[in-house]
Order: sequence, then C-alpha cells, then structure tokens
Amino acid sequence: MNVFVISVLFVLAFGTALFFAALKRKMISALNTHDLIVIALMSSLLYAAGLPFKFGLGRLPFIHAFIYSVPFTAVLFIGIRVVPKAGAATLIIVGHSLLSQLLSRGINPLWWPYPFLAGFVLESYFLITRSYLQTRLNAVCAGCLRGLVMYLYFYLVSAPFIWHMHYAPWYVFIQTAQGVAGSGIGALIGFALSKPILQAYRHGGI
Amino acid sequence: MIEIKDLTYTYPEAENAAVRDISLHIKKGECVLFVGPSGSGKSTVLYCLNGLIPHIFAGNVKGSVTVEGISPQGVPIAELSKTVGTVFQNHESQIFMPTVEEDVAFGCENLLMARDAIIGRRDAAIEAMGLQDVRYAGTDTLSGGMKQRLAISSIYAMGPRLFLFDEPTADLDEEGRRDLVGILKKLKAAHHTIIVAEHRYDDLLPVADRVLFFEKGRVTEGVRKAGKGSSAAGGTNRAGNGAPHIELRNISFGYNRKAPVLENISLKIEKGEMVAICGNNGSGKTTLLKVMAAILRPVSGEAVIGGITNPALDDIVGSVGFLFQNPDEQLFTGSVEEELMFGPKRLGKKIDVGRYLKMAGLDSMMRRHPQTLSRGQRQLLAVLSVLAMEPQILLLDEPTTGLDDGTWHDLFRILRELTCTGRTVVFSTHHRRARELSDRVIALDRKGVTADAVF
Amino acid sequence: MRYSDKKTIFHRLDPRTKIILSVGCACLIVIARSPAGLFLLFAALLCCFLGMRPSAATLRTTAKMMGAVFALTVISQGFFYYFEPRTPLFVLLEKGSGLPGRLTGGIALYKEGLVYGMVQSMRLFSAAVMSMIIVMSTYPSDLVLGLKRLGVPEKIAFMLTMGIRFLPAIMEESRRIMTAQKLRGLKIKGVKGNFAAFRSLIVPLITDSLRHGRRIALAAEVRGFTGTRTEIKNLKFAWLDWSALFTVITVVGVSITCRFYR
Repeated sequence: MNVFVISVLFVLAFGTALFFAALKRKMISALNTHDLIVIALMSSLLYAAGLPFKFGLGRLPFIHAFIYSVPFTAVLFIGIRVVPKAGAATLIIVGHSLLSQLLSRGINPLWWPYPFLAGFVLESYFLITRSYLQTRLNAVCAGCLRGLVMYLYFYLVSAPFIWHMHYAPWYVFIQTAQGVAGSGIGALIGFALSKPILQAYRHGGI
Repeated sequence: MIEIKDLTYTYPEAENAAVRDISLHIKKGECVLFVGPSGSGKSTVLYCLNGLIPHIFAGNVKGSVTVEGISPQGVPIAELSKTVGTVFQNHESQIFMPTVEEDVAFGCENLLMARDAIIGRRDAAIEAMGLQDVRYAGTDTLSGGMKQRLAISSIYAMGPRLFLFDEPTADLDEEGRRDLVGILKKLKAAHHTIIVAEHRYDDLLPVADRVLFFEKGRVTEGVRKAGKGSSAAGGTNRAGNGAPHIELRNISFGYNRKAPVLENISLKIEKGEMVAICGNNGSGKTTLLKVMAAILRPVSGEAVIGGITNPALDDIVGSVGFLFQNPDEQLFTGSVEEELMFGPKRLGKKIDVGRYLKMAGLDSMMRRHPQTLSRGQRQLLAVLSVLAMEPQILLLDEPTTGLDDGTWHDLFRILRELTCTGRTVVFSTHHRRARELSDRVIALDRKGVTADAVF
Repeated sequence: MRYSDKKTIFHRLDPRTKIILSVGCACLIVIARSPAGLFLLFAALLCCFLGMRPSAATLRTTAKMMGAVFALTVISQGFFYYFEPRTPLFVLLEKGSGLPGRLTGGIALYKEGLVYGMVQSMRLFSAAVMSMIIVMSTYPSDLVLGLKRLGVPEKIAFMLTMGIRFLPAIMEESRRIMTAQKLRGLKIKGVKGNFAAFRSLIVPLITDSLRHGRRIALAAEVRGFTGTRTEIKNLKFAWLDWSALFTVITVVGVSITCRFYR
C-alpha cells in the first residue's frame, strides 16, 4: 500500500506545483519591473543570510533547525514587507530555491515541492488575514505557521515516503518545535528590522 | 530636437520642487553639459526626457517637454527608449546578462525586434565601441572602463538619436574618463545629440558645445572657467616625525598564484603623514590598503604596522581604522549616536559623541537612523565612526567617490585635523584634486610603485 | 559545486534534456525499492559523474560531503529504526527509566537500522550526484533558458537571471560588511556574537541592495524591459538528446512496471 501513498503524494506535489505555475502567470503580471528586481535581490539575500552562522552556531547538528530558521525567516519577512503584494512571498522562496539549485546544489525536482508549499501556506495566510505582516502578531503567527508546516512536511511526508527515512515521534517533535521557535524569532527580528530598512529605503535616495 | 517649456517638477512627498520653471532648447547634434552639485536638478531634467518621470516617479509635473516631437509623458518608456538612450553612473547596475554579447542584445530583445535585426545591431554596437576582444567574456570579468563601454554600447544597439549620460565619470579612473571623451566625440561625429549631467566636468569641456549650470532647480547658461582651483584645506603641516607608522618590506600579494597584484613593494609611511595612493582601477590600490589593515596577509615580505610585524586582524583592531569604499556597508546600527559608540563600546572606550558629530556638522542628526542620511552625510558618518575608535592609523579606500564639493571639503578638513594630532592617514583615490590635498602621493600601477613624491 | 568548462557528453546535451533527465531520475529515486535497484541507480550515476573527470578538489569535497551524509543517515536510522524484528546493539536510554525514557519510548541503536540506513542513503547519494552532474555541465544561464523553454514564465526567468547576475556581488558585499564589523571590534563568537553579527549585517546589506535594486530597475526601464522579449539564443535538440530522453523514459517505464506488477 506504500506504493500508492508515494505515487499519490508525488503526483499531488507536482500537481500543486503546476497549479501554482498557472496561477502565478496572473499574479506576476501585477508585479512591475522594480518589484521583480527587488524580489530577485531578496532571493539572493536569503542565500547570503546564513553567512554569519555558517562557521559558528550552524555547525552544531542538533539545533540546526533552529539556527537556520532564524535568518531565513527574518530576511524573507523583510522581503515581504518591502513588496507587500500577492505572489511576492512565493516568488522569493521559489527564487531562492531555484537559484541555489542553479548555482550550487544542482537541479533536483525532489526539492521543488518545498518552496511551493511554503509559498502556498504564506500566501493563503496573507489572503485570510488580509495583512502583509503589518502587525507584530501577524508576523509571529506567519513565522510559526511556516516553521510548523515545513518541518511537519519534511518529517511526516518527505522523509518517510520519498527518502524512506524514519524518525521517532519525540525527535520529530523536538525538531519541529525548534523550527517553529526559530521561525517565530526570525519573524520578530524581521519585523523589527523591516522598519528602519523601509524608512532608510524611502529616504536614502537612489 | 528637445524643447522644454516652463518645466516644474516636484518629487512625491517632497516639499520643494526639484526643478523650477526650466525652459531649454537643444538642437540636433549638439553636445550639452548639465553641471551642478548633487540635488541641483540636473538628473531630474534627464528623467523628464527619458520618461522615468512621470512613468516611474510619480509627483507633480508642470510645463511641457518634447523630444523629436514626442511628448515623453504620452508614450511608454519602452517605446521612448527607441529614441532616447540613457546611461547611468553605476555601471554595475546596468549590466543584466552574463556575457558581453548577450548584454548588448538585451535592449533590442526587449523591443521585440526581429532576430536578424537584433544580431545586426548587436554586432554593429560591439564594433563601434571596440568591444570585439571581450565579446564572449563574462560581464563580471570586465574592468570599470570596459563596463562603461559595455553600458554605452548596449544603449547604442537600441539605436537612439538622443544620448543621456547621468554622471558617467563618477566611478571612472583617468583612463576610463579619457575613454569616455573619445566615445562622446565619436557619437557626436555621427550626429547624435548628447546630454551629460556631471559635477566634475573639466575633462568633458573639449567635446561640449554648451554648458548649462544648475543650481537649486534653476538653470543658467554660460561658459564658466573650468576648475576653480583647489585652495580648500591644503597646506602641509605635518606633526612630529619619528618611527615609521607603517613599513612594508618587499611585500607581494596575489589572489591566486599566477597573477600577483602586488609585487615586491617597499615603502615607509611616517607618523602624521597624509598619503594619497593613486592609480587606475586594477592597479592594486585597494589591495595595498587591505594589506596595511591586515585584512589581507602578504604572501611574502614583511608588513610592520604600528610596531607589529605581520599582525593578524585581531591584533590591530582599534589601533588601525579602515574604511571601505561604500559607506553604506559600514553603518550597522539603529541611530547615528549608536553608530559612533559601536566601535568604542566594544573596545571599552568612552567617547564624547557630540564633539565628533560637531566635527562634521551632524549634531542635529544624533537620533536619526544612519541609513536615512544623505549620501554625503553617510560618508562622513562612516569616517567618524571609525575615528571614534581613536585609531593611530586611518586607511580609507576611495573616500571621495560620489561626493560633492561641500562634503569633500568637510572630509578633508577632518582628515587634516587628524594628521595634526599625530595620526597617520592613507587613502586611495583616482581624483587629481584629492592628491593635491595630501602631503605625499604614491603612484601605483600594475608594475608596482612608479612614483613617490612628497610635497 | 561550480560549472566546469569541459567538453563531455553531458556538456553537449540540451539544458531541457538535462532538466527532464533530472525529473526522470527523481522518479527513479522515489520508485526504487530493492537495495539492488537503488545500488544500480547510484552506481550508474556515479559512473556518469566520474566520466566527467572531476578535479581532485571536487572529488575530495564530494567524498567528504557523502561521508558526512552517510554517517548521519546510518546513525539516525540506526537509532530510529522501528520495523520488527530488530536487535538492539546497545541501549542509550532504558524504556521505563524516568520521564525521558517514558516520553521517548527508549533509545537504542539497532543492527537492522544501520543496514537500513546504509541502503537508504543511496537515495540521497543518487540525488546529490545527479544534481552535481547537471551543475558541473551546464552554464546557469543556459539552465534558465531551458526552464523558460519548458514553460517557466518570462518574468520568473528574468528574476533568476538577475539573481545569478547579482548574487556574487551580494556575497562579496556581505563579506566586506563582516570584515568592517570585525574592524570595528565586533567578535563573531557565541550565540550573542552570531546574532549581533547577523543584525548588523542584515540592515546595511538589505538597505544597500534595495537602493541598488532601484538603480537596476531604472536601468531596466530605459532599456525597454516590459516582460516580453525575443530571445536570440537558440536551443537545439540533437539526436543525442532524443536518445537520452528515450533511455530515461524506458528506464522509468520499466521500473514502474516492475514495481507495480511483480
């Protein structure tokens, strides 16, 4: 019965991806050249964000999930605050994922569902709350939601059915909790830093 | 060609108009210089001609503008770009594609020309700007001057009749500027209309037919004598000689083994000296400064900095201050005050913030976020924040890039005050004027130190 | 991993083919179940990889990375193995011992788990090797072109091109900012240091990038960028591509058949 679960999930993941590609054709038409370039730069910045941690805390294996969630979420949320439009979140995450695949990790379709899922969760959250991280509470909830969905997806779907790896429930719980906490803290940092950045961006000239 | 009548424009959220009641007539084939300090409205007029105003910058436009009978307000920017080509100051941000060839074609591809037409125009543009040798090269491997050529040739390929240059020389060294003058002559010979907005224009006078002076949004025409002389803060008053502050003995350095950037360089810089390191881009100025700051370790030879031989970065933090070229990369904190205290706090020093801010006239900005200051103020703040750590040696990489005359003057006054109290200042530059303000000039080129003169 | 300029058979393949090959490979990774099948897949990909004659440095980093992944997988699966029968090699935490024991249900290293981890790590290896082959044999902008021809919208492709173009500059800038921090006395050590470094990196880095972005956008506007372009670069599908496609489709087809009708 495993076979069916795997194939169904795989098809589902690709289905969502395709669905999004179709949907995005409409969404991206609403983004102008400037937005696109800012999104492209934010995707690249996500890549650079982990740098201070690369040789320090990032090397500790057990709290990896926590350490990496913080800068990722912080930069991502600053990006969303800069371009508060539908589709921006997905494009930043997908852009980051594709960029790192094109430049260093290599094209790997097995990683494609992650960014789409993350984008989907955030976009739906923004649509439902009708706010693009305008308040601190909104940002923290969005961050925790992102962490929760991403880590649960990995440990409950991707790991057992694609990679055939199994983890004990307590381990999944600890890792997910770290992801949620890291993303929440990252969201707080991102929210706090987005204010001066937006202000500087507005007044600092070209 | 160009007809501007009573143009007044106010940027959104701005109180004062950026340009006021400007009327201009520019004939076909003319080369006109727009001259004036930053914020005087010269770029704003360019933006009105290429359609960035009002299509990208909203705000309030009054008056009329026509270019070749077209009103830029009425047509989309993409359509207008067939007639008006714009080259900006920062070549880094005008290059979009990974190779030279692709980048030259980029504009034509956007205009949805036929494939063969694009190839024809691309090849013609590459030829005209002399880029044949680097045609297949990656755009990130080009020198500053070549990038400038690439930016012009990408615009050239789109076939505009009017060329606008927005501060084209700011990032160029002397070689690059000579190059640019050559290209401008070529464009002029082909009967293109050219407008160059620039605040350092001496080099460009030979090509210009007319010079228009901008000040506070208004324009006056005339021929003013070039180069007002650089009396500013000259004068040599070295305080105390003694042991050399920096001594390099047969230093060599290269990012890879095959191509050394610095080879066998020996020099001594004494306490209280103000030294300018000059040279074209790629001559190793920045590398030399980084060796002096222990950011880079020489491959061979000895660097004695403040009495320590071949120090590690941690050894000299506090006693050597280093300023990177772009001030924005060095303002980390949330307020001007915090910015100044950032370094001293970590070294356990207490400083008088007010005194430092007064030096640069920034005292009223204490609570502002550093990144919201103007470009010139950010540069001064970056200098102050290094000064606040009270380093004995101050190293500055191209501190004058993009500064207008007022800020320039302030900067050198501050540096001069430093050398009078026995600190050593070393800076790199490719501007002639900055050299005149220093005590000593070290000229560098790919072969090594070519001249070392004390005034 | 980086693009390396060589003339192997993979360099000659159309980027579209490579993308489709990678999708095929991903399918195989998901479908394959028997250890023999997994091993075969990995061995085939490894042969392709070695056929590209990677440099000694590349081989070394690859081996290091694989060693780490292997160790991590084997150990984690050794501990978390839950199929029966299982034989514990040693017990880290007794099942009933106190609260942690009750919460976790005991932690022990199982022999079968170690074997299972060894087999399953082949999946990760296959994916990694496949990705490396693509990255080493294709220029990033060609991959973008391939993606575009396979239906990725123009604006996303432009975004990726911009990312590829400006990422090196951003990395360089972040390194400069971190050096500037160190020169101003910041110690990037410990939890506090890491976060302080992050905070004072991210504000100038993003602000500067956004200003830069504004300049780039202006430059793109005056060069007529609207989102639709005629692309003069062409891709050609040669017999080599067709045969590669045929091979991968056959292999995937055969494995699906084997999997479902055995």
